[in-house]
Amino acid sequence: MSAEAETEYRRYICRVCGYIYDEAKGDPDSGLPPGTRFEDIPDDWYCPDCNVTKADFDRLQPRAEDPVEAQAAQAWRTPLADDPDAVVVVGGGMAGWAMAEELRARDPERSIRLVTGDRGDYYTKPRISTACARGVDPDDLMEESGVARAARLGVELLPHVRLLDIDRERRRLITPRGGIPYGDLVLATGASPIRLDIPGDGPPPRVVNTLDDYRALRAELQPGARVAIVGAGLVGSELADDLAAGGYSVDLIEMAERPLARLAPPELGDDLAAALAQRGVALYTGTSVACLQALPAAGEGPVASRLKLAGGETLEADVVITALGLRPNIDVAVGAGLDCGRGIRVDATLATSDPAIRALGDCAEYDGVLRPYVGTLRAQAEVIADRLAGGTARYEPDAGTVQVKTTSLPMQVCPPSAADAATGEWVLVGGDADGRRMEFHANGRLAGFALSGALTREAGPMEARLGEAVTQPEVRARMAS
Amino acid sequence: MLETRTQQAGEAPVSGPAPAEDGLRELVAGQLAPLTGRIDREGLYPEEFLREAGQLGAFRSHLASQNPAGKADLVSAIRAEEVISAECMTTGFVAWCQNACAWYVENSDSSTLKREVLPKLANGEAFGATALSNPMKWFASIEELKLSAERVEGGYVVSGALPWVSNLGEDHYFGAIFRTTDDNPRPLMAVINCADPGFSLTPCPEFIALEGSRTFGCHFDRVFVPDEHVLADPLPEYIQRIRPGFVLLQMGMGLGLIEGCINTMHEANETLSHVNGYLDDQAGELEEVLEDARQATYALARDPFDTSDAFFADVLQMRLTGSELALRASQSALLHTGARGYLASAAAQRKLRESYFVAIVTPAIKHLRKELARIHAH
Repeated sequence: MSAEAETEYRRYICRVCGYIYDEAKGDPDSGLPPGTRFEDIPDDWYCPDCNVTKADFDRLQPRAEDPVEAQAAQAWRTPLADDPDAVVVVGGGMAGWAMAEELRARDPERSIRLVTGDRGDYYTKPRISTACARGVDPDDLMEESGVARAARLGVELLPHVRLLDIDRERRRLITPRGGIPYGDLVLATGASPIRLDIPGDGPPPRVVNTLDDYRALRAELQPGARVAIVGAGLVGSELADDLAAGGYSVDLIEMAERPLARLAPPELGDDLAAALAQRGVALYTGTSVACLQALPAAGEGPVASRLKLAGGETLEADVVITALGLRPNIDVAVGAGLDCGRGIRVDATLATSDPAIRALGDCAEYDGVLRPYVGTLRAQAEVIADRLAGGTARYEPDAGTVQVKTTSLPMQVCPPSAADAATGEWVLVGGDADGRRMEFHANGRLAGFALSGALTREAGPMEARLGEAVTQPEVRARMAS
Repeated sequence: MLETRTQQAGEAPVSGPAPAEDGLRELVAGQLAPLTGRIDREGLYPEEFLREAGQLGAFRSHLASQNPAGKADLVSAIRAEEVISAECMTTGFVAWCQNACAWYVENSDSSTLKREVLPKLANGEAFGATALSNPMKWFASIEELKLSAERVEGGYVVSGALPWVSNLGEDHYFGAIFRTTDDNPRPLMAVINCADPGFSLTPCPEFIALEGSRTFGCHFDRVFVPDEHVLADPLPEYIQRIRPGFVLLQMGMGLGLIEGCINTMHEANETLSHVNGYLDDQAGELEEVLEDARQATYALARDPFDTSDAFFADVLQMRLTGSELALRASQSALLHTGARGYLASAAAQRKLRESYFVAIVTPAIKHLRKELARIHAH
């Protein structure tokens, strides 16, 4: 050590209160003249701010600035803007972003703000259904960051803000971040997986509905992991198909007699059951999970589960997923007094019972029907954007054909309306287990259809024929061909 | 007219009645207001007011076991703090200390404390405090834990020192967290009484406000803490349970302060509106954001037992919003009052100093932003 360094004064910090003793300044009030070395301070000296002794002091080590931390901190230095005429879109999923995009395309001026509880990163949700088999990295599913998309569209993104309430009288959104004024409000709050409270001490089952869910699932799935999926509806069947194709060992548990029982005709449900079995999925139908127990972890590994089924079978799984359908996120709309059924009720202009508030996508209910499909939200976003830009567009629901992305047996199902379903029946028109065409006939008309395998490419022509008269001789003629 | 169920500011919240509120307003006007200046700078502790407020039920709304409704009504507890803080935030802060200490006991596993201490905290017969500033910073990786505890027969022996704990006195209770040095080192939380042998209080240097909050340095020289006074073991689940309520109850200070600032601005506008119109943050704008913040706070406070990280992030964001608004409101109040607000006896300059307390008391603005950034990164 050089002589010069030795004469340098040092600083010491009180661990209790943060008072700094600087040798250069001393503590004249306590009788320590400037220049008093720390080691020369008597033991009965007390910290002037909190009365602890010398023993509670450390040599002061200035902290180096952390560039990562500095960047994170920067993000907080933007105040909320305050434009009472803004269109505020709530929801950062496909519907919210489609809304922002369609509106910006028609109105380059109006201020648009998108409020979302997550980061707002953009991804196409249906791609999650077939991502495990291909081992898609979660980050690759993200097509554009929320920040980049907002900048590109000229939209103000408010990420990590949860909507708590809507003060309709004052036209303000109530959030933990403060009030957000709106001129027009568009609710694109989406739908959340229905969760089942299964008795037992097992870890809570996962759901797979968002990119974050997929990210968490992939992080937990070890190669060859045993996965139990509860619910063989659309999402459960697709997940089972995809995970089995990805080399995981899959058990699929369904309360009904076959998969897709509420969507597809029984013949196609049975075909799918056979296709899934061929892929290695163990299917347990007509039963439910009575109890979910934690299995003692082997070493540091994650806790596995033991599932006891109502029929007495016992399964073991490393990961348990429930796929019991979606429920529209309408709590805030209900709380704000908007007319709601299962979803937020909208008319053909997509307005709710409050004309300043519109809704679209998975959270909206039009004509008593929920349509949680990508095609629907795009069409609805166009109508709302047109209306907000002064147009007169009206929403016309499409046929509502559902694409079932089970690669072992893909399907296109256009289910009949509730009224038709009560009076008509499914008719097998052609094909075999590798690809069938089924039609739903009600009151002498084509009211729905279901296609599987190679025949799924006929969905377009079939949609065009919906509503056409069908007669038994005509059907027989087509079956014969 | 649109039909909404939005309530006006000042009305009783829908979540439950606020029986104490009207009586409390009278008590604040009659007994607290004349003392506010002395409490702020001279260190007068509003003991008589606190005891009477306790008798009125101001400190028990959030304690399901101690109020007639049998519900954890945090909204009413927050509103009572608002009424007090609008006049004197030192007293509002002390009321929060009291509420927080009782909240710890109410949600604990200690039947002894629930039987012997909780009823007295709930009715203002005993006073309580919270020494969680250091542990909260420890949870956020900002500081080390400052208290440690040795396992002994029937309890722990705690040593160390904490700076600046408020609402303390000869026989006041407070909640503290220490780390054990036994075979199973872990943090534990317990209730300490200032009269416990080995515990001592030392005076603090002078602060610029809140002098009447009885704030002291705490020194633990082998203080014995019996097992019956440990609030929970293991601690993490307990902390998850109490933390949203702990932070939400702090909202009473900021919301009340903002209301007080708006009142001050209206008073100034009686003679100065022709110039005050040139200022940012007019009374009407602040009334709007105060109403927003109240509605959001009460919405969150209706379910304080949601232990999810997502909910706690909302609570932290709310607390941050409250601090930011408090700074805006107090700055505007001082600018509205001008030189008269700059007098040593003026409410405006006192509220300015009080608002900085809202912004720096744990969790401080910088602490909240750091914690939210960490949560959002996951």
